[in-house]
Amino acid sequence: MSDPQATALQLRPPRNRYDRRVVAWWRWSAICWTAVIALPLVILGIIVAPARIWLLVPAAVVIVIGGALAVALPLWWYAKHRWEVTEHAVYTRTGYFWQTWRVAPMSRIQTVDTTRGPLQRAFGLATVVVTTASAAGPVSIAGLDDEQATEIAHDLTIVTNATPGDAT
Amino acid sequence: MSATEEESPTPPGADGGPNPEDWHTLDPRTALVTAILLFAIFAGSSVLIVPPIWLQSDAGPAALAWCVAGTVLITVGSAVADHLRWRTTRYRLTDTRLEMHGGILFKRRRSLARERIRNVDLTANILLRAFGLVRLSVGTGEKVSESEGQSIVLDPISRAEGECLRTDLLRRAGAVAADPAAETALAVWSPRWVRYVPMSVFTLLIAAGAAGAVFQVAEWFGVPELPVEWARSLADRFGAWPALLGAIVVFVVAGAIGMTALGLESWWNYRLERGAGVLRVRRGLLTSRSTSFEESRVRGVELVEPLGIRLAGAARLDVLATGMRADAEKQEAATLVPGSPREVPLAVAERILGASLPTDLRPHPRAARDRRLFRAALVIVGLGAVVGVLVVAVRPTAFWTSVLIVAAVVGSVIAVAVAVDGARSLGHALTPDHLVARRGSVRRSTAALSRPGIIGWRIRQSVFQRRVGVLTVTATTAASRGRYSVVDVGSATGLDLADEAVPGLLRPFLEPVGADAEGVGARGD
Repeated sequence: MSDPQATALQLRPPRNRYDRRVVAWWRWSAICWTAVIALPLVILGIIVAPARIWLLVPAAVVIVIGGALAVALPLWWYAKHRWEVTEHAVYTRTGYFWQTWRVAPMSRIQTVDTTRGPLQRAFGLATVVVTTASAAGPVSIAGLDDEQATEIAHDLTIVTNATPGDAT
Repeated sequence: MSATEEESPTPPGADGGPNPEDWHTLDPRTALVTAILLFAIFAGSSVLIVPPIWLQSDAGPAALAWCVAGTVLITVGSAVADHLRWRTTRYRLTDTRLEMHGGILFKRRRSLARERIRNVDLTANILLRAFGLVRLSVGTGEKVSESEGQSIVLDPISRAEGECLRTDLLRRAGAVAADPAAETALAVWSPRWVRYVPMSVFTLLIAAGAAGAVFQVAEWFGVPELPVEWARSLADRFGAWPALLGAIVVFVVAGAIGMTALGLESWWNYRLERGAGVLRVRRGLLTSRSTSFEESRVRGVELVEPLGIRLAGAARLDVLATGMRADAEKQEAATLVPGSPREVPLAVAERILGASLPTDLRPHPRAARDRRLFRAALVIVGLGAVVGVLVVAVRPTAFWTSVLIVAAVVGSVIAVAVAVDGARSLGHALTPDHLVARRGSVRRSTAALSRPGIIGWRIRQSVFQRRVGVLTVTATTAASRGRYSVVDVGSATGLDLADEAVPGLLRPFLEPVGADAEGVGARGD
């Protein structure tokens, strides 16, 4: 439109990948979730003899699917998740089946937080959460090295504090 | 604690305000109003409870005594409590802040900076109106999780004082010179709009609720079989189909009557005014409501055409404003123009946007329609499967089998119609000031979002969308729902649209198609 339709445009991937350790974190998350669902089924299956087959078969299915996800998906996600912080905006790409690109301009950022889940902490990772005034949810970069995350959050806070206005 | 609400350690009047005598009380009649309200509720229920007991057993006098004692106790008790609340509550308006303190057990001070006040609402139920009182609620229009986060409620004060405060609170420094009487009416209620009120899905919901209520009441009276017997005798007398259709008609008519009554109560005397940078909606038959908010909060409008009133050539207009919650129960608060002939909301939209809402929107590619038809096909397969399973498993009578089949066929036709219509609704446009996006069939919505009000982009593409070259471009905003989407737009068109709507924001992240997509970017820096 602004260009006379000479070349069609597409979104380029953000420049940075997540920290490599994110693969292990995602894997262990998948394993934990699988265990949370499968363990009660297995235990009940052992205790409750008459219903054994009805409990152990679903447990086996959950374990097989969860295991497959834990092995394959994180590698795929790692290839697809990207992030970038420029002078003017935070830019992320997440997901594969529903690939999502998000752009939040510096001038509209309200708060910048870092969060660390227990499992994340075990891998030395952190999430940077960038909130704007929109109800559409924050932009988060969920797989950065702990120190790097702190640094980015610090820099972002300085930049956004320097911007006047109430960001709406 | 946020910036606008501060706990102040100083006692009232001692913090160097203009004048300690400036502290006002609420209206003293509040105790009387509370007493009348509770007396009416409890005396009313007593009238319903006592006579049946008196007639059916000899416990009548005892029941009467309990009801009278309870009514008196609660009426007097609540009046005393409310009087105490009145005695402890004070408020004042200084040059810079609106302050209130009070509370019987827990003393609370609340203070809002006047420059941050964005909306002032006045409501008065029929009892308050009889006494010439109103409830005034002031907010900063900021999103807070707790409903009492950043607001002050004065309940009640006299109507004159309420109007006076409203004008004072919303008068901005720059607008002092403006004549407060210079409010122009943008739209005024016409009794003919009543006909659009029942054309809503809520009519069907009320109808379904009424049907359910019949069974519930029958159960209370110990005759749960009664409605079924009625239905059976009606079916015997008139035949099964006429009885079923007749019952549907009766309940829908009942729903329409209920809906009309609710709509009349809400919107009677509706009036939209604009003056000195403030928009004000006034409405209500029994409970009068007045909502005022600053125009500086407005980020656009949304023309909403639910299927029912759209077929009748009518539409509603909602405002997109920061701090305006758009959840179901708050939706009425965001409505600028209720269901009325399309020209009315369109004219108001033109006055508020400063330009008319474009009608020639750019349609979306064929793939968008195919996606909707595919979903309709899934619905049809699903309906067929459900009917098939029910017929095989439950083996209903021939009549109920045909009812199921008719319902499935009607459902399938509706699914296809909604798909085709929904695809036709899709469209977008970019005006000098606004991004316009239209979507939806059952609830068609045309949102015009001010371009400076866009505070980010979310672009999303599922695997299926990727295969057919469309994506969904969502503009995020601080106003109302927080995001407005251009759905299933051609990939290149959608990105161009976003790039042009907010110059410079998306451009650094775009590249020509065919550039090495995944090669860039090593880990870290």
